[in-house]
Amino acid sequence: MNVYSLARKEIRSSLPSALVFLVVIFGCQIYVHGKQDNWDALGVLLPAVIVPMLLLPIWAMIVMYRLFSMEWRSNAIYLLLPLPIRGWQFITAKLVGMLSGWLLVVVAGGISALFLVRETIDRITASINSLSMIVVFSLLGLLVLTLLLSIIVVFAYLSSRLVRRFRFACYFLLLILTLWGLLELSTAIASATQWLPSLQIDAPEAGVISLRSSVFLAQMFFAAGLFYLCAWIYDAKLEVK
Amino acid sequence: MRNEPLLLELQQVRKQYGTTQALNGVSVKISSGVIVGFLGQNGCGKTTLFDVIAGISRPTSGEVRIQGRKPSHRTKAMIAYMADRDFLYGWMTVGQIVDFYASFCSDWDEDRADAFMHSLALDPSDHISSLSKGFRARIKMLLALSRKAPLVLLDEPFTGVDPISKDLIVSSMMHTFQFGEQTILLSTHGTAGIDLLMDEIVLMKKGAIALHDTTERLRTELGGAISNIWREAAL
Repeated sequence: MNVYSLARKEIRSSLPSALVFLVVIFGCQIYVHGKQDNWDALGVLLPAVIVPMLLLPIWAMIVMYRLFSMEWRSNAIYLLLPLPIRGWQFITAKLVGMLSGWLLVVVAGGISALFLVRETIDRITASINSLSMIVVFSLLGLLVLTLLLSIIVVFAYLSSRLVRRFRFACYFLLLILTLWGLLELSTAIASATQWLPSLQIDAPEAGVISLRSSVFLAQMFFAAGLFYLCAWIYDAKLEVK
Repeated sequence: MRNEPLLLELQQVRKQYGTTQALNGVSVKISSGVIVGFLGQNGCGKTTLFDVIAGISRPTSGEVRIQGRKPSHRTKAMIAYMADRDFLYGWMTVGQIVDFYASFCSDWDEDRADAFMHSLALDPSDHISSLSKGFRARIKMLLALSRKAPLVLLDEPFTGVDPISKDLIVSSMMHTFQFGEQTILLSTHGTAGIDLLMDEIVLMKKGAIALHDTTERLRTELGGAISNIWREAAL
């Protein structure tokens, strides 16, 4: 019940920014719709699909920061913190709120892309055998990356609340340091788990593309560790002031 | 202070913010089933003390025990805390904030909430952002007192509230207070009209407890109204 009530509130908070993002995507897709005959496939797909999807994790980071900072700025933390809400419930609800916006952008943006840049998609489908596999694994990778970056934001934000001065500087520094740590640790875990199977995709022009599952695994380990740490900070260290 | 079982015990609680000592060795014992007024000037540590008891601020040193337990999410389930800040979500309606809050409280009393809604003249369809400070205070009171929590903390519940709202809140409080089962800690710097509510008075000064006694004994020993007593003692 706790997570459900909180998540409903977070969904309501994150949807407006998701809708704005979606409108921008629609705008880009409508713009390139008329250019499909003149532009090559990459020129159409970059502004219509690829760039918006790559910007999605950054949107998620901004939304997560806003979802957390609003609780303190509006003093709502004085309502939430005295309630018997566990750290994992609080953070899960925020993630659910953000992910609902993420899902809306991916689904609605994907459907509109199917209608507006159909010709280009058909051209690519004809030349690449495993396009559906590439799309599915790209979305999965995007989801993992979004979750990971969101949890990094949560960690940096909650940790910055533990100091009394220079909170934004502290937040920014922790964000950079954790991202650096992620790169270092992901590389180390990925090389230590090279024995894990890779996904092979046949692409006519590029030959065989190999996606290493160990990278995803490393990112998920990192995200789970940070999630646990954030929940502990909320439960054991966080104060209202 | 009384023979009822001990609900809250603080031992040498200190809280420091940078170089500021907000609480300076507070030790107090509160029994079950009483209404205790925490009086003192602005900045004397009342809010910090309530934050520490509610578990939303951690003491620098000392010990807090609520029914023998250290502050945790378990003790949070036993405490209904209304901070002095305006913490209600402006975009919610009165009904939505009540439902939202109630969903976290296993001790929520639906009948009592309905009675408060009626007696405090609140409309569930009103948007919180459109309400005055007095009405927001009424909502906060409804949220705190609709729970059957053993400990209710009300931090400055009457600040900025008009006399009519204050009277409504006080009378609703008296009607719903579960004598013997609930304990209310009420912080205020103005006692006019509410001193009859209080069983005990705790007077705070510079982050420490200057005086703690029953209202009855204080009136007998020191004479005069409670407002005079605390004004003299605070100086």
